Amino acid sequence: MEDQQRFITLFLRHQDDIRAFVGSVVRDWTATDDIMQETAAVLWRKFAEYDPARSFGAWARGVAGFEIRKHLDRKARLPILLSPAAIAAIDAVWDDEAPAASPRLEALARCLDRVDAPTREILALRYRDDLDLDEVASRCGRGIEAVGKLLQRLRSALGSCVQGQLAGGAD
Amino acid sequence: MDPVRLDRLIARHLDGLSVAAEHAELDAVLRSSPEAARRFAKQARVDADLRTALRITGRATDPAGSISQRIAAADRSAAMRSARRFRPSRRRPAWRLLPLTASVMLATGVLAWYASGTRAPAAPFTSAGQDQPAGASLAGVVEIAGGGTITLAAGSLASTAGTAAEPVLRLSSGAADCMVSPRTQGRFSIVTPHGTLSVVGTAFRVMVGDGTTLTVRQGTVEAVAGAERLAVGPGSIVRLGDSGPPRLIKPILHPARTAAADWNKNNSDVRVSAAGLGPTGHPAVRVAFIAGMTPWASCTWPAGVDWRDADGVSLVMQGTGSGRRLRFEVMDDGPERLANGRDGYERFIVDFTDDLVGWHERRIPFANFTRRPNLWSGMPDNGFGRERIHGLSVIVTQVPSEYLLERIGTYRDR
Repeated sequence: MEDQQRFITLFLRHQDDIRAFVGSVVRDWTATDDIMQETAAVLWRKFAEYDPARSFGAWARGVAGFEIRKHLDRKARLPILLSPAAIAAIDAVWDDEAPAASPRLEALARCLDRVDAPTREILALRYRDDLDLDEVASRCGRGIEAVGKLLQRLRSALGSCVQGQLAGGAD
Repeated sequence: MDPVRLDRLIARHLDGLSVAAEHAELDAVLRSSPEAARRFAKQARVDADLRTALRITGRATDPAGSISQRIAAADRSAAMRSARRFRPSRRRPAWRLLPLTASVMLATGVLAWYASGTRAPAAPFTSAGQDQPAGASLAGVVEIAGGGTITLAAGSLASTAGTAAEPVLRLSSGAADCMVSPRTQGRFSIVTPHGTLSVVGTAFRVMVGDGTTLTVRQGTVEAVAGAERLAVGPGSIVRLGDSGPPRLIKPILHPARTAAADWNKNNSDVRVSAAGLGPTGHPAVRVAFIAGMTPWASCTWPAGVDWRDADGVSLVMQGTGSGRRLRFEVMDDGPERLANGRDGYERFIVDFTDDLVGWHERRIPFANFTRRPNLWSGMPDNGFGRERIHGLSVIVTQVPSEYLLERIGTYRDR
């Protein structure tokens, strides 16, 4: 029971980051959910092997990376976007300068509050409704490239805003 | 690699736009440059956080600020122009054909929050200063031609119809808070799958779930359906179902203690956290079902609450339209502890499907509940008496799942 409590505490603390890591590689949210479920099960099964001296997040991402490869092997329809070496390179630096998920999300919520309604609607179509970019573009009556560039600028501005919030700045 | 080029490659990857050559280029740079990998991780994290934040909170926006100016300066005018062209969501549920048409008319208008605009309106609604012509889908705060505003709850499915003189909001799911200035001509109407609400000026809220619930806050309203007429005053609630006349119902009875602190804390498969106020103004909770075959989240009240004067359970929740099955369980009478250490409350359950998107109210008659099979020995088996209700649970069959729950209580039709 003690082990279970410890596992849950660690998993809950890191799950948003693990999901972000998986999602960044897979780019399919249904597949990401499936991989997360499989990863959680494996992590729990192998928890006795976890070395507390290591970062739980790094250990979990290692397992998740393996589950990603397994999943992509099984689901031939999903394109393999990045090589195992590239995934490992991302994993190696994932924790660098990364604030914890909870304050990060709180800061992002504050930043989103300052986004005007039409712009936020575009974000909602993409992220809340999980629409592909071509569908978002179609609904906005714009080209895919234009929407892609707008989203890139939005992510960049919101990332800066979150950093500013976490550093205690006004933005 | 040039950082501008790298950022573009990362963005195209995150947006699913990359072609094979771009993937190969990105793959190569990630393998060779830790700095590039760091840049990728940073942008991927913002991307994932946006999904989490917008799916969970999905709050309607608004006030402009510095970040807004920075972001929107890049493309504000185009984004605002585009807002007019949003089409209804592809997850829009089918409209049901209903025999019921209810008209709700204001007898005494008392509101003047929003004066009519000085220009003659060209479209039934405007949002962010832009006309929203018939057929446009709506979200957030919307102004009604002729005066008034509608605030749509996040995730609501709404679109426009009618004309500037007779604006019509089609609300297929979710919730809308309406403040309608007294109109000198023409009515503002809301069409839901269960009926039509027509007003000439009032303040009210409409929630659409398995029925339509209208809460009148200001003014006096007459509800008409067929030959039935119903006078509705401030604070009263009218329920429109799949058939029959609109029914005046009493407000929620026995609102359960379901703030975040009241939910179980010893269930490792589920995480419950506070999520601000829900659409009816009560504290909402975010319930994340993480692991387990049938993870559950529950509230228990050892003292017990008498639910005998009610007809069913009212649950306000934010649906996701996933089609997944959920189970609602009520703990009826029974001993607080059995010999095996578990509670001895008799369980009654009802299943329903997560088939609606956005905030909505579900009303589940007690008659639909059945005794949970395979209860452990020592539990009573004396029917769903509801003399002492000791708690409730929400159970899912697939993980991970997340739901926002708000007010849970009982209702009475009589």
